[in-house]
Amino acid sequence: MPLTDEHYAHILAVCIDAVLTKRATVDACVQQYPQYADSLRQELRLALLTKKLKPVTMSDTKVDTLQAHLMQAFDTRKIIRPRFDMWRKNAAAIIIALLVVFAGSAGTVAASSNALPGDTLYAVKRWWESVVVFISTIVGNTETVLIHLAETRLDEIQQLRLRGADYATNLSDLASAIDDILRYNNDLTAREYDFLVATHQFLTQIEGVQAIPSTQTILDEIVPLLETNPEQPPASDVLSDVPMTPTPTATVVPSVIVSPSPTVTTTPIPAITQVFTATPSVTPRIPPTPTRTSTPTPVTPIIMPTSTQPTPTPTWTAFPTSTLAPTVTPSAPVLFVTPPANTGNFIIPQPSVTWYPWQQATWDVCYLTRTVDPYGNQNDPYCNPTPIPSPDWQAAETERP
Amino acid sequence: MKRVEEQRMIQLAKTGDAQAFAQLYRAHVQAIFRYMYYRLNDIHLAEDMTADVFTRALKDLPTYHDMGKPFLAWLYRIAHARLVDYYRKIGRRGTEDELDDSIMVQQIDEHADIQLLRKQMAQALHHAISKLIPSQQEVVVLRFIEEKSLEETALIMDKKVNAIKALQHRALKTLAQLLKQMGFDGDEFLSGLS
Repeated sequence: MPLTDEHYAHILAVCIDAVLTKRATVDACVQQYPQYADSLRQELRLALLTKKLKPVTMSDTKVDTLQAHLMQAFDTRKIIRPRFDMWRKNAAAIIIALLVVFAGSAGTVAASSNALPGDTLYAVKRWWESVVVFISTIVGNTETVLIHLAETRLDEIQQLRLRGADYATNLSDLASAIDDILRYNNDLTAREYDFLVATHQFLTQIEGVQAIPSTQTILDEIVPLLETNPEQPPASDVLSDVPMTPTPTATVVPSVIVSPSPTVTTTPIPAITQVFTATPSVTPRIPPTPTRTSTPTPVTPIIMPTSTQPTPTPTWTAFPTSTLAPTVTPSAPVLFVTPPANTGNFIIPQPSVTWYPWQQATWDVCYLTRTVDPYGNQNDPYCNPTPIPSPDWQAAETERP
Repeated sequence: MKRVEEQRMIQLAKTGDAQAFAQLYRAHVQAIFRYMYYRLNDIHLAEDMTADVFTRALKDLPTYHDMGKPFLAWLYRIAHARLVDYYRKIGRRGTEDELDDSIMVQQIDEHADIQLLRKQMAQALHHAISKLIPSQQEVVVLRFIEEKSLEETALIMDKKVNAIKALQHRALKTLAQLLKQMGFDGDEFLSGLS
């Protein structure tokens, strides 16, 4: 702005203030600054004219309506918080974001537990298995994890076959899983033996499987093992997992509830005998405690079916029942006269159509957190989910007291 | 409303006192409405924009900080921002070169009634103000309609006093040109009306 304009702007401002506040008239100002007379007069009059414009107002009705609207909005808006709370809001947002990421990852892993080869989440399932295997090498239960994974591979193949999908390529995964088991230990556990039997049955009895090249590779590997272990006890011999000296001292009070049927005393005796006369080849993985080496006493527990059993055939009640525990003396070892399904130190639930992701997640936690307990980890809630066996496994599963 | 009382009301409103906000609204709604009306030259649009300004003020109240300026200055800033948004939305800005011939006041009849002339003059002035550029509109409304001092206007518009003086001069000069184009160019006429 030229100096003259700036000077004129100042004069105009002074005159406007004087005229608007009635300290001077337009003419008085013009006379004082004659060099700007024309423009000063015109602009001062315009300023006065603008001031005299009829004042417009918003109608009272509109004002009240808007106020009501604002009050309604005021009531429904968020509670106003001081600014120093902003960091808390941000921290909460970060925590929530982390939880969402963590829950999302855990949820994805859990959701992948039922995935089959070819499914979108199958890669996640295999990745999580590798994580579990890695951790198991630290925790020390790799053997159990490996047999679990091998069983999972076999189950996947069976499910693929039921779907009518191609499972030939997955037999190589099964072969790798069997290799892992055999490479890890020399002596087969009952569970491993059962698994090999089941694998053998599948490979030899299912039509069309023999034509697959990997089949013969697996059979070549497992048939000699099955032939050299003809006396291997049937499924889930607890002696393979539960520490026990050849002279067990347990005094199991035969207080098991007797079923109404008198014929029940005849059946399970041979199996029980077999259990207590465990062969030395079974290597306890957990050193026995001193309390377990007391004097052996002939124990002949009479195992009875539960009263709810409709048939005279004796069976064991499912998973630990409260009726047996109080009858065992405190120092006596708990004898699994009949092995739990799939044995191990605890029951490994088998994947099935009713095996839910949360169960898988819980079971994974069990793997990672359990402490080896010869009593079957009954005090560890993570390791005792109620398994829901699939029909395929139900036949081979033996119940335990 | 006095400054101290206004500050107390603002704090109450920030802590959830609806009646305090209502008092602030009542104290300033007409000023904001006039500001909108003289800048838009449309009473219904001015009402809508006034509602928009106070709704926005309610939303932004938690972030309001007293920087030594009157609460009305904050409301004017909101109103200014809403106007900028409005002009951007309709793709039009008021410039001193624009003139809408359809609402141009007809040639003055020197024998017409003085009241009619006043009315025509007022309409022409309204229209001319609405054709100023935004900063000139703002200074005219604040200085001559709201009768704010130079210092208050500078505070509200966040400018220096000298800048307000210059804006004021340019605004009046442009208004005179616009009115001249509408036929209101006689100095005697202006003298007679005022």
